[in-house]
Amino acid sequence: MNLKRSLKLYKMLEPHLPEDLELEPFDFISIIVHNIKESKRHNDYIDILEFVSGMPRSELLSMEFIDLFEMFAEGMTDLQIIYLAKFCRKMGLSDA
Amino acid sequence: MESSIQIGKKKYLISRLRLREWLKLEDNRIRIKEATESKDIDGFAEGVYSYISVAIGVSSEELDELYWYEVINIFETIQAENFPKYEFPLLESKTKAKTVRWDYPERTWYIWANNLADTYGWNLEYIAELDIDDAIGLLQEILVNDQLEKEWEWGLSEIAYSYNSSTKKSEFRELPRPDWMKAPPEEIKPIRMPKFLMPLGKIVGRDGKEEILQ
Repeated sequence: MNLKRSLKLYKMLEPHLPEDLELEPFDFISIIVHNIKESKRHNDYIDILEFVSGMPRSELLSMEFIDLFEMFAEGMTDLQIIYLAKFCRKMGLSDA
Repeated sequence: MESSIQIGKKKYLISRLRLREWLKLEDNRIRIKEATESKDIDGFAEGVYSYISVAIGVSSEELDELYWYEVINIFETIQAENFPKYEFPLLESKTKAKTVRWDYPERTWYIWANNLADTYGWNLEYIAELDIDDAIGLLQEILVNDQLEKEWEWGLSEIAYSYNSSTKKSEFRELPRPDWMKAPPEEIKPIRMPKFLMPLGKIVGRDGKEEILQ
């Protein structure tokens, strides 16, 4: 994913990111999913998966939760999401 | 110290830039900062691409094809290579440069070149190749001398003194200095206060917490 798209992804993820960026990747990703669930903005989860995987929304909605979570976790790990969040916060791109 | 990076099959050397190119880098740094302040992520990415293009000549289109991590890595390497050696107050100015009618792209270079050529009589080619620390240090000295000279002339003129009708005396008004020349505000030291001067009763703090003092 190039810089422009990764920054867009950061903006989608930003409201759900944990404060602590020093967490282990799995914990970090689990907190994102937990935060999305808590915020009741479930569409954000599908929007992010659609953006990362390029799969049609209808197909994503027909998948099992566990498969979606696996896809989400893999996507976030491959994209080095913690490093992206650290960079964006360091550069002042964060809304907080 | 130079470092190198590889994009595709091509190897690029990242070295410390000379004044003219460094000023282009600075213009891009400001562009990135402005995009950050306005939370314009596309503007931010364009600024980063342009910053890298100035330093190593890779086009924005090529950079747009790269994985984001690589771009950021190149960007941070260039930044580290081109930091001034000292913390020059001149570069810490918080006042945003006002846009004027006679602005044009890359005007920063001509402002610097004009000041350095005027003071030292160097030609443009020589100024363009100056080491950035030397150039920043010299420009700061030129601006300090200029300000001190203006302050001296100001002190000799009538407009520097205004009549205070309550004291019936003339008072000297200092010529304002640019913010990077002003002394930083002194830290306010905590003062011990006798207990009998302390407020009594219910105190509500800014955080809403209540406290009873007796």
